[in-house]
Amino acid sequence: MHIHRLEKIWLAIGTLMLFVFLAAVGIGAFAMGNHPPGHSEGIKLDPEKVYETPPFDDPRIEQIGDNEYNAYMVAYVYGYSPHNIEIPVGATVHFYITSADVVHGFAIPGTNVNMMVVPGEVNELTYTFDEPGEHLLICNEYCGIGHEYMSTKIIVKG
Amino acid sequence: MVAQQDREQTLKQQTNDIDHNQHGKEDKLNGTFISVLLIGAFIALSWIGIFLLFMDRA
Repeated sequence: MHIHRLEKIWLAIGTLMLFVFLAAVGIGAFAMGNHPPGHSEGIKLDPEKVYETPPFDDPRIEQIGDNEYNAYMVAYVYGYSPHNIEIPVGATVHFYITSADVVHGFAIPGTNVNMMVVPGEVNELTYTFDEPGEHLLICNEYCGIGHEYMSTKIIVKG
Repeated sequence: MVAQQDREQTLKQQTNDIDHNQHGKEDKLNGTFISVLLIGAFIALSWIGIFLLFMDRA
């Protein structure tokens, strides 16, 4: 089969680009541990019994180490429990969140914090808050008539 | 007999024409090449931009 000289060049460039992209993502994921920020823990729970199932029967933030916290949260129409979280600057927070009703979102604009909150699943995300200030935590999955009011604040104290 | 020869002659001529078009002179693909490179550059720059943004926010 005859292939034009220029066609060979662009096919080579395209193939090379594909391998560079795959290598960057592959090395990042397997050698450097860069994964999508939010993921399911694989834990299943009955979405109708969220408020009776530990640890979500008592939504809270608790210190587990030196400036390291676990946040057990519940998303519901139209808010998050606990509301307005306060943490010191530099805190690493492991968020564990589930939904008490429908699918919600969990996003802090301007950061990589962005995941879905699915009823019956526990989704986990870890983030370190290096700058003092207030972060708006919003729902970015349309969840009903009050969706745009569904938010809370994460206050990082310097 | 003459008709047979004519047919063979015509067939040979057509075959030559096809060969000439396919292998004789190459098509000019300079414009296509530049277009492909521009789209490639757009894809590469978008990919790198998004990758760096993700790494910066991680």
